[in-house]
Amino acid sequence: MGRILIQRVIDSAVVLWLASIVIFLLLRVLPGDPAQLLLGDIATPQAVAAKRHELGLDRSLPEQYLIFVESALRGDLGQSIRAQVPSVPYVLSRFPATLLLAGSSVGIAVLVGIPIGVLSATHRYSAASTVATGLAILAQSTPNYWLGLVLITVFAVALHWLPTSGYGTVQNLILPSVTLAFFLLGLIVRITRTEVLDVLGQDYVRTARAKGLPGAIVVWRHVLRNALIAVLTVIGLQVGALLGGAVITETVFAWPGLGYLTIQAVYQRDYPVVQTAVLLSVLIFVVINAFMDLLYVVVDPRVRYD
Amino acid sequence: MSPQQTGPASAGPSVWRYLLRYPLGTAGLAVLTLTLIVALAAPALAPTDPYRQAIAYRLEPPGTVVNGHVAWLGSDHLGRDVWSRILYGSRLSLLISGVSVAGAAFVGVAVGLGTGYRGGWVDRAVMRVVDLYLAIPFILLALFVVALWGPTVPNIIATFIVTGWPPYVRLIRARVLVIRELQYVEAARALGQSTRCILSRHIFPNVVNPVMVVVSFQMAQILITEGALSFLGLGVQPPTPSWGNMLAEGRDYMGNAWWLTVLPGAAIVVCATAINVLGDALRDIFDPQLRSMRS
Repeated sequence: MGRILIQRVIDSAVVLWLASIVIFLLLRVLPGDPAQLLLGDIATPQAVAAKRHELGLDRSLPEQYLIFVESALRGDLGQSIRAQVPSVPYVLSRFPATLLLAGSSVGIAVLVGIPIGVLSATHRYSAASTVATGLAILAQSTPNYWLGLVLITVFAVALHWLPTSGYGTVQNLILPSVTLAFFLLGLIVRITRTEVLDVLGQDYVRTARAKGLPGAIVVWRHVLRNALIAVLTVIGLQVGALLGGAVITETVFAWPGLGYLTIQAVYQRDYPVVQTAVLLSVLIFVVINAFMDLLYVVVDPRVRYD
Repeated sequence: MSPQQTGPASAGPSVWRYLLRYPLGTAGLAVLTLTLIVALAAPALAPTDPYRQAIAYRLEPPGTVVNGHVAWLGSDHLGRDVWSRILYGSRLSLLISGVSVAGAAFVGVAVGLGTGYRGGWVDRAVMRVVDLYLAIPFILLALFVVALWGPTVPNIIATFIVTGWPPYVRLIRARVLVIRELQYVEAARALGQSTRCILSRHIFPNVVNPVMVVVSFQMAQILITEGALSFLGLGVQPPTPSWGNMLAEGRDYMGNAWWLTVLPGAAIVVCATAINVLGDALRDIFDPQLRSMRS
């Protein structure tokens, strides 16, 4: 257990380190001089040169990288060019909105998806099960930008029930979280269904049935607990990805989260903000990923990583 | 003496016979084939030139008579025929997703074979790079590439290849790790065959089948993501029609011309669903253990 933990931490650290190199290099190869961008077009060449020196842009790439890592470890990833504030707190200020959206959509998807998945496995040859499976595939084949636009057209433009975009009230939250939940719902229904089917075929389930336990108890006590391990892993990975910002959904609904901020920063060439947001989302993803792996080992003693 | 016969035979043509047992998968294949035919025959099928503008007939709803022909799916903000543009749009959408997926599979399979067979520190390093890819939000990586080199079709395809190979490495490597220990591989090694020959003749045929499953799921994903890039203004640039950029252009007229966004999006949904059900059937045929590939 201890060895697995150490191995996992080392692997995560390596991924983070590689990510820092990629992010560092990506921003260095992008067109446009950051010093010029900071000062605007009217700055004199002398002022730009001074700014370049101040930012360390006149040094060699390896030197710049070391400085970048050193300040990143101190929690300093530069200033937002647009907002003129330190980029780390600026990006973090958008995190609650992303957390709210991710939480509510995962909540919807889990509450609806797991029961449907279980029922469609226990009643696998029923018409309802076929419909559920079909809908799940459809959900995974539906682009969320399109679903978002269709929902806006129907519920905001035509019916005037809900606002098209915005943030702050429950009404604002409904359309974005339904849009985001839809894809997850398909995923959760499918995974739950296959996992439950898999467990239903195991010997110990047959034993439980053979000793006369009622079907419902077999399913809820013996099957579900084991099937949910894999479901949990998938949900965990999705949460990890969502917390980095649901770029498309947030853009469709102008939801002020990390994803929308990142896209705007890309358009505005606000590189320090892009850098911070991407690094933060990689960090979240890696940490959750490692955590899920460990959880897997803890929950299911049969799993061993060599 | 031909050691490769010791391994399970490649599925070959029997795949198609198996597929017929899955009505949904067969339907998916049929829809996909139809879309491919439509894409190839677009010039013959389209009622009008997809680029011809008719400002007098802009934003006409489906079924209106425009310039003497019926615009079954309406006209867009420049009076262009939406049906013709959807037909032509299928070309780019299929071309981009098809070529990208082929490229990504080629790179991923090659890397997976090499790293799985070789093992050791190379394998560890490659797998960390794969982890890295999975950790960086794909859409942001794509945005970077396209922002840097411009949203041309070759660049978009290159982006999908560069970002799409890691799942194949995971899949292939895991199987190579098992197969390289089998006796027939050991026999080939003992006979002095080159690594290249062992990989291509003895290992590759036995690991390649599940690749088709990932190919189909990824193709649906790329079809959807191509639209997402267009939606963010970084996809194929207008006036060339792709389903994604038609939808993105139609967004400004959402309030009074629903067909401009709903219909190209519906084309993506139909096509992606067809590919996904086909992928599901293939997965059931090839390897039930692949079921969690979707995540």
